[in-house]
Amino acid sequence: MNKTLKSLFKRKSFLISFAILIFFVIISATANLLTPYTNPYEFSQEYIANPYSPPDWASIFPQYSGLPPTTTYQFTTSHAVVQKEGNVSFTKNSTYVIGELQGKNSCLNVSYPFTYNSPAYKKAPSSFSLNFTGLIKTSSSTDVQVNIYLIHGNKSYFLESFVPVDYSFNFLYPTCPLPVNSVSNFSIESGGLNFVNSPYISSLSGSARLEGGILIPSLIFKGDPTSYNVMVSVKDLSGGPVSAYISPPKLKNEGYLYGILGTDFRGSSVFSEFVLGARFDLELSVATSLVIVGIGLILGLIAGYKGGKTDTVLNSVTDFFLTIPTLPLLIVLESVLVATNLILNVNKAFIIFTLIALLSWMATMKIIRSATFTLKGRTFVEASRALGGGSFHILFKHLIPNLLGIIVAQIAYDVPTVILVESGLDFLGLGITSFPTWGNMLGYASHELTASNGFVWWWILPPGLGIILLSAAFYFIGTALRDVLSPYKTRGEA
Amino acid sequence: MEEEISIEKLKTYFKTKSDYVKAVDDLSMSVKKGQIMGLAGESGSGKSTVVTTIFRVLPSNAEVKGGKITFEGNDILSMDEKKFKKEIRWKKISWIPQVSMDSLDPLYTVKSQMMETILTHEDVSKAEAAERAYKALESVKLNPEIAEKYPHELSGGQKQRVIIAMALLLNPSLVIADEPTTALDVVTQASIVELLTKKKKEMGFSMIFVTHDLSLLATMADAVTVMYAGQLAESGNAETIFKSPEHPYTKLLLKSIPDIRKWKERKLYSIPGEPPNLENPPSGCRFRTRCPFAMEICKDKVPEPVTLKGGHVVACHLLGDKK
Amino acid sequence: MSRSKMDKDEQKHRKSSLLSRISSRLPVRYLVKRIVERFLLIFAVVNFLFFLFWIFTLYIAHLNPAELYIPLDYKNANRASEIAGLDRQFGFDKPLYVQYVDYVKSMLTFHFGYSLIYDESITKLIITHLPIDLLILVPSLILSTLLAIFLGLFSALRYGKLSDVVNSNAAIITYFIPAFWVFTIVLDYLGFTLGIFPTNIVGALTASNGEPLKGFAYVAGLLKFSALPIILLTLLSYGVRMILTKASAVEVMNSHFITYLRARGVPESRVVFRHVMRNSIIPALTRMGVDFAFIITGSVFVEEIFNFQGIGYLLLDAAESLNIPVLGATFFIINVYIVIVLFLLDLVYPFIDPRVKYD
Repeated sequence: MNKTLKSLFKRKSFLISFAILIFFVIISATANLLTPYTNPYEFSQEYIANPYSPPDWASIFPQYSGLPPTTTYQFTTSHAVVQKEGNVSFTKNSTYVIGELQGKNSCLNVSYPFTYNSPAYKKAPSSFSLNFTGLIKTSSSTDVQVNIYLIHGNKSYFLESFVPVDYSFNFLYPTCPLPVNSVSNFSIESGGLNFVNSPYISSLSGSARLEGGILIPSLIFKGDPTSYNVMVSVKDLSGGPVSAYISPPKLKNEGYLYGILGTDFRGSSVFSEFVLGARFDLELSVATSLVIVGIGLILGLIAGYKGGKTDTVLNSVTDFFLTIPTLPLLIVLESVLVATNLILNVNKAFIIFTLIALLSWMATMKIIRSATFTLKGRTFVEASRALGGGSFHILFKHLIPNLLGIIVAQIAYDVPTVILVESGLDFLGLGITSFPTWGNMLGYASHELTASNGFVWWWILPPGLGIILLSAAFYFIGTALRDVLSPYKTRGEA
Repeated sequence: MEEEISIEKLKTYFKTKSDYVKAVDDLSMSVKKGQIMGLAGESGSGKSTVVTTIFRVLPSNAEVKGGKITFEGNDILSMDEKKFKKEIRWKKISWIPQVSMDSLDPLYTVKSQMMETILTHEDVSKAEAAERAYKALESVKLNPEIAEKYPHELSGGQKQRVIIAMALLLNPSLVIADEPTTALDVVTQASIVELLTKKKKEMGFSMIFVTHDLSLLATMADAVTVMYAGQLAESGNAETIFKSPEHPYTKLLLKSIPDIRKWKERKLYSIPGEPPNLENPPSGCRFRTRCPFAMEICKDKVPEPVTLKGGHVVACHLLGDKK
Repeated sequence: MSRSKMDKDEQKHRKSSLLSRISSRLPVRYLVKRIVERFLLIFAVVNFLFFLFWIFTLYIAHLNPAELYIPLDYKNANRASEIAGLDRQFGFDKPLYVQYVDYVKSMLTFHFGYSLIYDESITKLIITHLPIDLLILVPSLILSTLLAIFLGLFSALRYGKLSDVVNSNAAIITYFIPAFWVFTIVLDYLGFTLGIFPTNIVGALTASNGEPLKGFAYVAGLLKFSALPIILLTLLSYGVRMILTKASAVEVMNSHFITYLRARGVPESRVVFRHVMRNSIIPALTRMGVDFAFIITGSVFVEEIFNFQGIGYLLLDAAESLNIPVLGATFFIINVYIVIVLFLLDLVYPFIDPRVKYD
């Protein structure tokens, strides 16, 4: 075994291929750590940045330089800078800034400073979002107000104001309902802001007032200085006791650059699609390939070992399958199975796995069959039979060990075939569409490519290169294993 | 008697990853005009390499490291390739390879391959070339219809006759037959040998008959050269070699020929051990590892060929002792 | 004998031998056996299709193909009565064995019926979709085989050298390049960005004034359109045949008959081009034959990307709308084509390699 490994690692092609394979295995195994997304095709995981955003590092190219990146600020309570007005006391724990307000017009301002290098960017971010949870405890007769501001330098932008519904008519600017005495999520999407919910936008005039939600990132995030603040302000307007629990907010600036591999037309992370696609392709192709070789091995061994009529029948069946065009049959079967709704409850990946396995075993069968024929005629098998060795003994003692090289190589060779066929189906839209695979990434990307969105290279290149690298790696590993494990070679017979 | 071809201190080595395989090492031999020289030795002793060296068709990893092959007064090895091709190759020296070697292109008919050989060397019309091919086939007692056949349609004996016809197409003065009867059945073997000797008488060419089977040479060869592990062991006229061999290897080879008159003994002798690995041959005499008479000196010194009376050459330290 | 007479004799001899070769190589028994075998294969395919489209959809999935057969907005006709009519026409009201016999009969006689969705006879539909595929696939098959032979011999002659290693590995990598991916990228760049190649067939066959092209201009437009897919397909599909050619050329060059040819003084160019080449292209030619049989099966990708409608499109479109008559007929025709080409290959093969005999 040691000798086998040594001669394997002597081959440059094997080493490189092995390294590539290990790389893909690692990113597949750690996919959940590498990306927070479980399925970027799901609506909730879209729009994490502007669609068609190139990767962050693309800013080294002139055409992408100066684009704002997508940045997320996850503040903690330790970042909080607290200002008090009136009779206010506050404490901090790890999840909340807790303020006790007592007295009319007392006010608690919790601000979180951050820097955003707006002077360096040509554009403002396309949108931003702000989230935090809060709990306002008060009696129903108390008028309390939670205001949210973005502060740039000395300018402050009054994004939204939350007040209990009963008091909303007291204000000249638009407000939103504030649920009291229950933990609630405060969420602001820049795109959702308009003159009926945002005090700042309602203060604008002309077309800016109407298009506020789209314009607001460019109104706030521009020019000097680089210091910004998010401020959550709790105001006690009627003087009753108010306790406010405010969690640190999460602010996200959705820019025009994103992550390692940018975003696709959904604004989903291409990197997470690539990683999840790698995991799926690897799992599916290896599993399918094992089944393919399993079927081929069993039929090939039976045909080759039994010979005679058994062989004729099995060989004819194989020939029948060989003359049937695989891809058209896959298309036909897929569509019939899907259209007849018979497999509604069955995973589509499972259908593809089954169909590819059932339609691809023929080559393996032929190879195993002819190798078995050759082996059967060899002296050591004949001797074993003459000595009264049973079929099973011969099969497991002589045939399988001698076929090992072919079997292992065939498994490795079938992986690229499965990857290519599966990707082709996905590309055509017949395969998996609900979660990312390299094939459907290419399918979506090429549709978008022709829809004149420019050359979205960060999206269309990785899956294609992934397919080539992974397939070639399996091929060269297979060849190396076949050469090294083939007993004929070691005996100098081949 | 005049010499047809003489080989002097020929060294042909094959390159391997780290070293050289000394397939032919310091071999000297010569063939007299009109004679049959038998070149004998075990498989792997370098006999076939001598042949491919003469024809200058060595594989790309082989190198001639030294020596001369004199034919008609010129050194074949240093001769201009064009001149060799034009004047000597096939016109003067031809080659009958082993039948099992698949020496004919499987995709062309016998006729087309014979015509190709003629047309390469002679400026004749296609029809004439075809006619000569038919005649050549007839002269080796084959039905001319065979000309239209493909090699795989022929039996072993037929194939070998076709190759003999091919070798004799241009009336060569030297024919090198490299194991022409190996892999044929005994009856066909006999008829091929008979054909060759008959043709030799008719056409008067000289011949090098390469074989691993010494017994075959007993009846036909005028002189015999025995090679061991790429080197000369012993050479001389046939009678001397068969009647009074001096080299232990020759003696053992002769001992291992089954003798029908002693069939009762029923014991076949075979030389113990295996031919040495030529990438790293034993020091001194290469035969010493299998030689029953090996001495100290055999380990240290390569035995120089010693010429005894009647042109009998032996490379063995035992002889040096006698002197 | 005079030389001219000899030449004539020679010719006669050659002619008669060729004829006798053909007759001796085409034994009737072999032909009959093969044809029966191939027919059984086609029959098996028909049965498979009947199972898939009739039994499976009708009795297992309870789907009425007739319902799928009529477009929802077809000519404002009364859909229910149309379906009932079709049921009668297809014989869905008849016993299963009658339906089976009818189905087999219609398939084997190539009477596929009329597609209401395309408003065209299905046979005609297939015939009109086929030429554009062949226009692109056949030239690329031939070109890629030539390229494969050239590069394969090149590599074999430089076996083990750097140029061989690069050349061979490049060929191996082409196995794994997803064609649709490269097509998309190249078409985007050369077609949409640079505008060198037409991006769809309608554009390629229409003059700038909107008139359809005619005559020479039509042919030129067609050539211009097919050039890019042909080139790309050639570059992506030569790999397997190149490696086959190289492997067999290396083997042939090490075989004894090549040494023997050189020993006989046959010129090196003749050795390489007449003997090595002819021997080593056999695997590539065999592969080309098989690829020719399966040529249509991958066309769907080329069609999808280069925007033209061939058999692949027909199949895909029928699959997506579950147009069972078109689906069945197209699949059947592709299969019949494969079976016929493979059969012809068996017949031609002994002429490419005389060692192979009809058995």
